[in-house]
Amino acid sequence: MQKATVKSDLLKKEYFENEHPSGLKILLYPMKGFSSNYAIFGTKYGSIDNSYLNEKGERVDLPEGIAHFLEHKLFESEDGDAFTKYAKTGAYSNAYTSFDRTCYLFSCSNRFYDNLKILLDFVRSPYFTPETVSKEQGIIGQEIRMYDDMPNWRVLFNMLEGMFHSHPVKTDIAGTVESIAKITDQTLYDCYNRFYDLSNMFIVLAGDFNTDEVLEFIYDNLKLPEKPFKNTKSIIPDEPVEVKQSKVECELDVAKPLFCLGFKEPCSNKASDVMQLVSMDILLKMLAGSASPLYRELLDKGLINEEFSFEYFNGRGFALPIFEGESDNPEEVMSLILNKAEQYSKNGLDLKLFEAVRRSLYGRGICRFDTAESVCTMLTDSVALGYNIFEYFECISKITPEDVLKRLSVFSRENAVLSVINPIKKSEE
Amino acid sequence: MKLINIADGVEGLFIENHRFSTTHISVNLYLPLNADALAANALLPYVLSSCCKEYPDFISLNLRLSELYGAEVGGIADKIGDTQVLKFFSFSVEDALVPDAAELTAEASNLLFSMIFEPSVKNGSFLEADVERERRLTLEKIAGIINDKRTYAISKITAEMYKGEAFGELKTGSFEAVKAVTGEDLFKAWQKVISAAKIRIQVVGKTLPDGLFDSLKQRLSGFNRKPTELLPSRPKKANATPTVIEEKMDVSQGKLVMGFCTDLVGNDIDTASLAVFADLFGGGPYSKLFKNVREKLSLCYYCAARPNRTKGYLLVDSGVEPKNAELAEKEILNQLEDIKNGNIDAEDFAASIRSIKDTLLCLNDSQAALDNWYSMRLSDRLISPEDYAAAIERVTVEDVISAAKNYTLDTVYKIMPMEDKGEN
Repeated sequence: MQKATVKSDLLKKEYFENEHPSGLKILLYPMKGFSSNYAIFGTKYGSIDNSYLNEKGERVDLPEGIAHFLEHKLFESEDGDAFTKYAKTGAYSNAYTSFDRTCYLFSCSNRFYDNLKILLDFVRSPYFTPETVSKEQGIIGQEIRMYDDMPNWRVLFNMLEGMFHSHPVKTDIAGTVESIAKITDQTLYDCYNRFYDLSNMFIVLAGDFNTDEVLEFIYDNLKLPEKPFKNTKSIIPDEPVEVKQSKVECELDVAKPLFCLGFKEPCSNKASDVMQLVSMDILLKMLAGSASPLYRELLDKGLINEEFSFEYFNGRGFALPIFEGESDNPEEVMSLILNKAEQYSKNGLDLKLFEAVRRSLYGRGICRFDTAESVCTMLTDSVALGYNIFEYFECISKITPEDVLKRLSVFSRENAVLSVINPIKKSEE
Repeated sequence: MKLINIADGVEGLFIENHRFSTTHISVNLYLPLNADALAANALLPYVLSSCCKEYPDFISLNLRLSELYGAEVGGIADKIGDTQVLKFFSFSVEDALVPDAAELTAEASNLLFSMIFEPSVKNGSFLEADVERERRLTLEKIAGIINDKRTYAISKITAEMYKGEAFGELKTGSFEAVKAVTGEDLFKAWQKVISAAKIRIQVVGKTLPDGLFDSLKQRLSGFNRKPTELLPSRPKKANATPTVIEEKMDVSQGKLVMGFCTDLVGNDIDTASLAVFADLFGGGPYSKLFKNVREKLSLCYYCAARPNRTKGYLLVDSGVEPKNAELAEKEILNQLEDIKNGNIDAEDFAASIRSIKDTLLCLNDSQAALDNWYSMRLSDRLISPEDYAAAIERVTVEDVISAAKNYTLDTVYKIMPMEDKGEN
């Protein structure tokens, strides 16, 4: 089994890649001297993969929340649940479903191979029955209710609903109590057989291990399917360029209005490339980062507090810079962000700030190689989005102000959706 | 780990670790938790870390930090039982890892000291604009606790259990107390804190920066220091009849938090059995609460037990369907009784010991976690994660049973939906 070296002369770091004959991608990042090992076995199947074309060419729509439901249920195999197996080794284990992937993970300080064996086994051993599905509907129903009460979650999804006409990123990852009621053991098997094909999956590992030994262990212990899977690609519907609704408001029991402001970028059904990520990361920090004049203005005017944050939210078929926070006047926050973007368009970027932000991203990025967990997260992103983890840094070191300036066009009122959660109006005493 | 005495009441701790690309430095100030001084003291780290004499404006400070490849300086306030801790920290990338030869660690540690010892002040007062900004941010943080009902319920039960004690206050101080803090109060608090605190500087990294500890000693020599003794935290005697409080809110899921008291407090070795008990009761997936209350009976979405071994209490917090709240409460108590009666599965017990040990041994792979581990332990109870893991391994089933017998229910706090919500 051959493994390719992925190397960065800039960072003086390297890791190894191998593609199993089944198509499974294996990424190994050795970290000599570390106590803990971290592993993720994942599939490029998340909440946005909610419809597909079947063998007859007909579109099949799945119940919302099924990827997340499947993640919960995969922890149970016929011979007991994964938690019980990990309890015998002492490892920490967990799983998560995001918009574009489902990941099963563990971290441990010893018995690495025992843990890896558990992970390789249970992810390849689906076991669903009508009884266990019915019980899980109750548990996930409670999880959905918990998220309903979380204003930070609600404000984001309300914004996404205002932003997208058809892209499934607008639907809650866990689905709704009604949608998960439609899930049966058979729909779970069907999804598993379509989206857990090894060619759609990846294993990433970081820690102090011998890479040849680990690779051999994976090859020896990976369960291959008895019959070929129906490797299926999901359909991401075409999304209009325009936003659906520019303002979404609701009320919850919060102290101060919460806002989430997004700007819709037109994009293809693929993920953004690395240059797009770096240039937007730099632009956002220049616009509203802690060293930016706008951040000072927003704080001095009392328009934001420590809850203020921003990120470039992107994946297959969706890309949008978003700003979140608490403010008595979210409209004013939006106006000031738009004004600042316009100023940069007219007068060009502040080059001193550009250089400082570029350095800051580089330095903070280096720190991400310090824990096995963040290395695995970077590797997972790289598989899901299709680049190697060093490219981001190479881009930072060669990016120019012009590359960043090009990204300003997204910041316009037409592209904006403002979601606000207002405190509940108390009735007059 | 090397603990060095730098001056009276000032110690230095170097945690040598070659795994990281950054150097992490923290200066920790420890003081008795005092209700009258709590709010002003707690506001100090935030005002101090927002600017300093050299960079009197937080944007110029942040710009400088960005130029230093994303170095960071900051401050936070916390409490360890009846002790208040004010932590100031810096971290920066190793000089050798950036393209141009920069002295990042030296510059970041200079900024850290400037922030603590050379604040931007005028005529015996912090500048009103800085105080006003940080006061507003803290007040909004306090008001915002209600946004996350889980955190809110925990803050309410802690306040109720320790009503009338400084420990019952939020770590920021109360809304009213923060609102009343002025620039002059802060200046006085700053002088007093630097003079009276026990201080520990900690470094996690490859090397101890040259002259760092001496430099701290020199900075402190300008103050007339009389470090205050820190007394052990006082545990509370549980209420004879548990206090029960129910609050109605506009929520879908209910919250149930139960507070238990114990008089067994002490260092990590003495209380290792409490940690294993809490983990077996409501920690990992092998715990009584997870296996029975969540999985078997489906009464809660989450149900976890967390001990505070410094102050001597334990909170069980859960997210429940309102119609199940009463049953969940009974069942949580049943599970506790079960442990007290010695119904402990040998496999679960072994799983708990393994899991705690594994987590402890992984701490060495995180710089922030290591810094936090040591800074949350005063010098008389300083212990490495490895030594604590060894103490955990010595805990027996009998120790866990007697640990469980020490806990008595003190307070129950519930958040339930308004009448028209939740039951569907």
